[in-house]
Amino acid sequence: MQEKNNKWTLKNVVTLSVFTVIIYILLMIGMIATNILLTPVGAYFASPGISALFAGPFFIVMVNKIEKRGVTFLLSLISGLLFLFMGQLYTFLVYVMFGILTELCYLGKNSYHKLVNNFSAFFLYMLALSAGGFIPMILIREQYVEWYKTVGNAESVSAMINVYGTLHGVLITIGITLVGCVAGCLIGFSILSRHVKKARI
Amino acid sequence: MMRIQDPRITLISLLAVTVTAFIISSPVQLHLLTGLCVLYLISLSKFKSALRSAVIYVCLWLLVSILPTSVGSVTVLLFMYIRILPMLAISAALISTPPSLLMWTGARMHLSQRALLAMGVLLRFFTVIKLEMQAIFQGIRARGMFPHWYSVILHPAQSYECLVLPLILRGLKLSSDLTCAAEFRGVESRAMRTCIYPTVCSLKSILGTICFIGGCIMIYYGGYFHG
Repeated sequence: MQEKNNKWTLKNVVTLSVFTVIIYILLMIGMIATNILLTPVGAYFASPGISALFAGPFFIVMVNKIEKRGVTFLLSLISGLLFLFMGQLYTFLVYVMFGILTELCYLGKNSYHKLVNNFSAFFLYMLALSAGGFIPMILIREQYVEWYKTVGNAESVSAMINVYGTLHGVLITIGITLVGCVAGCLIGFSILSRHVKKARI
Repeated sequence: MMRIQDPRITLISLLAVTVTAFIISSPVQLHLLTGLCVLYLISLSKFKSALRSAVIYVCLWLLVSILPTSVGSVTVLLFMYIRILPMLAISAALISTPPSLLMWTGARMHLSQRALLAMGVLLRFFTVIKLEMQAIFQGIRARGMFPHWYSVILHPAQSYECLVLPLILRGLKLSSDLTCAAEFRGVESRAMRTCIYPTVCSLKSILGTICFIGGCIMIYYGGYFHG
């Protein structure tokens, strides 16, 4: 019975694809808007947090509707592949790594409907956006900066070093992401119980 | 019916341009790669796509060189777009391929049907979401909710709700509709998939792809020796 429940249906696949596109587009809009409004330095700090505020409800609704093993891993994998298409190799690798971690957040019974499990998975998913920058900066700093010079221009390289090259920069980014994820998840659960469940779609 | 080029040929070219775009570093190599993509599109008789890609690329480079350094944010975004433009140019040729033809090709390559369906929805929904957003904005306007452009800033919580909630419900409804349509068309059938579009894998397109891959290799090694 349990095995049957965990089998992916056609509707699950389509829902995952549709919501992945929406979440990815919201991440992109968040990145572009913060780059324009808050300068590249501000974008590195605030982009994951602000995007989380908008993407949170979609993530919560998607996970609650699909509630199958591998949903957050596949979301991370597809998002990572889309970043890979944009030339962000390290972001792709971090997304895959964090995708596995997000799946661990859903261990246990009825975990797809619990706030804590969803919040931790969503936080890891959103953190991967900035972790794609600061994890390589910690592990392979010289190589990463050299590589980044080939894909970005001078302004983006200096902004990245200023933010992800310092401990306080990384901590502020994680803090803003955390706040954005808390707000996004709470709004998501509110929308889920007040509107989506009542609409019975 | 007009014969359509086998999508596998375009897929190989997309793979070649993606790998090359990752490993090249100098602007000259990027110029050459974009030029090569434009020539490839011309060889596929996709003149409009070729012209559009070339014009966008030249305009963006001009903008990046004209704009002062004080508008760093804008140049960062433009530079990011310029980097992926060669891949977008080739992808345009692939996206214009009918979805059923793509799925038929994928089935012939023994790819998972679920993965193919997910890919099909991903490719199609990127263009559909713009229409969905337009419909949401029209609905907001029709109800007279935000009469002025600054009304959105004055009522941020309301504007958030008006945007996010309809998009969630539309997303759910769309996934239900797409699932029904796919099931109705027999997407889960285990029988061998057929396709109404006649495909062709001509000698011209094979030679064109070989030349394209050769060009990518030359661009990479040219930059390597130059560097």
